[in-house]
Amino acid sequence: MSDWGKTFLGALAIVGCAAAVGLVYNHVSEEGIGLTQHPLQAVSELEPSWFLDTPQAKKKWDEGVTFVDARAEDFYRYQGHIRGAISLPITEFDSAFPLVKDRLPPPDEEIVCYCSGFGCEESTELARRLTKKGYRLVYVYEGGWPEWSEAGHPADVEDAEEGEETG
Amino acid sequence: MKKLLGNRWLLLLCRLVLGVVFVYASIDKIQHPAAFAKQVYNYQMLSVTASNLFAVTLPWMELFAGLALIVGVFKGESSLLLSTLLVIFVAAISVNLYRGVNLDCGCFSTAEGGRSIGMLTLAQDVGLLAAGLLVLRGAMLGRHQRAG
Repeated sequence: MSDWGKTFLGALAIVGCAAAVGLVYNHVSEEGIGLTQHPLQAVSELEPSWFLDTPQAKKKWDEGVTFVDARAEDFYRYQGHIRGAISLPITEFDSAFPLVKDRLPPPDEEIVCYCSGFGCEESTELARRLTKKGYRLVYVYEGGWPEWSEAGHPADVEDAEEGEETG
Repeated sequence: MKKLLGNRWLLLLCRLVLGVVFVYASIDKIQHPAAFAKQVYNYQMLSVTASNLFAVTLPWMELFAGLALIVGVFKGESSLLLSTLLVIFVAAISVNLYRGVNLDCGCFSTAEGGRSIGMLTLAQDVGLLAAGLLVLRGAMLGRHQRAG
């Protein structure tokens, strides 16, 4: 076998050993994670909560489920938002929640949170806070505003100059 | 140029830097697999299970290969593995920079709000890749000379 072949096999052996040690360590460690557990759920400790993709989120929207936008209000107003979504910026949760509480459904009905798509934390954090407030059926729409608008689903944006909502 | 690339002190420096960087990078990830799995998942390149598997096994590859480079054993194998990982990191960062997604790098720390990916992280990984390839070249040449 050539030197390169041996080196390649050796590198694979390191991968194999590391994978074996990693899996065993994950199994015995208190910090270990479930391999099928959703990574976002593992950290946010949402319970109960589900993560939705765009078709699932659209289905919920069609069913009339309440959507809550976790981004800062400027993004909600001027970048745009899912049609009918309620603005509840996570950064102002404590002051904003009492103001929008009446517009939220009863705690045993569904709510979908979203923010600026994959990588944003606001929707997960909002779902966690709503869950703490007693809402039991909180979903997180992972793709959020970027995927929703890209899919061409119903949205509203407020004109920065005129301050009017347009469809 | 060939002489410079084959300079044993340069190779030693590259090998030690690469080894220390990867051992250091592995520790926090091994300690916090859930947070690291989240960072991997946020790159949007792997499924849920694949992200978890990657998060659980990758830090150990970094640790083993890094330690081997520091000690000076399996230099070819370790540098080949780390160079391959660096190519994957460069591709993942590039794709997400192109997508315009703002992500925690997940390079050295799993803490939230850590360093975001950007041109600097890309340049850092490209630099490490160059060091890895240099060590690999040195190890393969050394092996060839010994065989010859």
